[in-house]
Amino acid sequence: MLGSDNSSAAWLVGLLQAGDSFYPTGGYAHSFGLEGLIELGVVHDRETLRSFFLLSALPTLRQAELPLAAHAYAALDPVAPDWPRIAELNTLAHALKSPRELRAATDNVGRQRAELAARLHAHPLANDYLARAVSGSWPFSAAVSAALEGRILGAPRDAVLAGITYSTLSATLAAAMKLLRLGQNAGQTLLTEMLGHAPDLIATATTIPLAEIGWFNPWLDIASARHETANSRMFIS
Amino acid sequence: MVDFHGHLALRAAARPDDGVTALASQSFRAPYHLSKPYWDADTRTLLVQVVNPTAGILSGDRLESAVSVEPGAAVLLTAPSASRVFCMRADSPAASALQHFTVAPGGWLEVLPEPLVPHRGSRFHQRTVLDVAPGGSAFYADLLFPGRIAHGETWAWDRLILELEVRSGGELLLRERLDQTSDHLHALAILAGSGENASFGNAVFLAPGLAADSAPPWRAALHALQTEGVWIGASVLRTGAGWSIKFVAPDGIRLRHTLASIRRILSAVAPHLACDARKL
Repeated sequence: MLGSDNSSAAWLVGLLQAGDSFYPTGGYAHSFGLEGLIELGVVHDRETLRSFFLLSALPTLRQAELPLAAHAYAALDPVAPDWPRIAELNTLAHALKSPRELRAATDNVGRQRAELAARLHAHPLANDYLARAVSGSWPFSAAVSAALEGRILGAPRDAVLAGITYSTLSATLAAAMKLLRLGQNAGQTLLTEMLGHAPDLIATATTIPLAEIGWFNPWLDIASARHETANSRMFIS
Repeated sequence: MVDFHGHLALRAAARPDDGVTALASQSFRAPYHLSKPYWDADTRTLLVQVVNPTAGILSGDRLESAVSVEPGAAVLLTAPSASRVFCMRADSPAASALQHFTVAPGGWLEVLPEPLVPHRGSRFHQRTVLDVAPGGSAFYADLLFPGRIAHGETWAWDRLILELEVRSGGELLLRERLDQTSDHLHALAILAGSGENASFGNAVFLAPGLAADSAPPWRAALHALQTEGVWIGASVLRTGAGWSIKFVAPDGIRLRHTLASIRRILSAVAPHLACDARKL
């Protein structure tokens, strides 16, 4: 909710901008493993897509991406950033993904988002982040970069996590709509149902300690590994 | 009921005179027991079987193992029977296992346990750390059955956490955490069409020179194993120092066959994998 002085409007519009498909993070080029599962016949209609969201996409958010972002948000305190922890989180974000394409997806989106944040907001935290990332050869993570952008905008942690939830689910759904026979109304109905889980996802994700971050779907990892060598494909991942 | 604080520590080294691998030091406490190691001259690999003479893993058991392989040594560590995790009362402590494997430059370690079989109502937390120095090589495989398939008791554990951390020269390559409820993993198996007896394999392969080839020919051979309900995918880990190989089969027999095929295929680039784990 906006405060009486509308001070929240600044970060709110910033998060809306960052979550828009118009925002050039390159997320539109990725299906985050979904195309591989569709090729293998696991996801083939609205019901199986719904099951995929419930059984795979939401748990990955709850146990991996959102906890990573929550820890990154804490470490990116603008007054005293914990850079070793940020380096650790970026490495961990990649180590949690065994398929190369899923790492490439988070690296591409994370890099674009961090560079955009620096370009659009000229904030010292973003500039410092990028300089340290280059000098330390950090991999990039979409979750960590989203936390960085949230800090630059002055957004509260849970709002940042809500933004990640929206952008992840909507990007996956956008990919699904290109790969399956799924109409706009059916897509939005599904997205609305999944977004309804956001409060519980965020509440759980913010309780997960660093040592317990992680979750994987064996079939998704296999499908993603096989997608690397597919003869034809629409998405990078 | 007795709960065990089991302990196993092994250090394998190559003898200076002939390069034959021997256990330079060993210590173990129940429920761990070691069979007499066997030197497989054909593959120049020391075959070590870790035996659990008790029925399986029980409430409160805490198992810790540390195995290290020194330069020039080669070890295949296996077990003769499945690891059963038995039913535990709700008010009794869970069981846990901590496994730490280290491989020095020029060393080879294969860890090939029999499947983990979580019974109804079991609670088990396994954490595995594999740290391979640059120039060292390793193949680690974990197999998971959904329960006592022959008894029709599947997808019935209370809590199962399987963590795997892989490092190369201290650099984190992989950290995985399987912590699905039995119902959740069962639902994923049904969604994927793997069926009621879906069984899982999770392997990693590290060897010098792997980073030089992002599309090795053996990957196509591994992917060709995806037939008759078997799923398999291989992908390079971060930094390129190793590979992840995941596989799922509709039952335990096909899971074992798939693992045997993986070892046969990879033995072209890692000859120690030709060692027969059942020679003893």
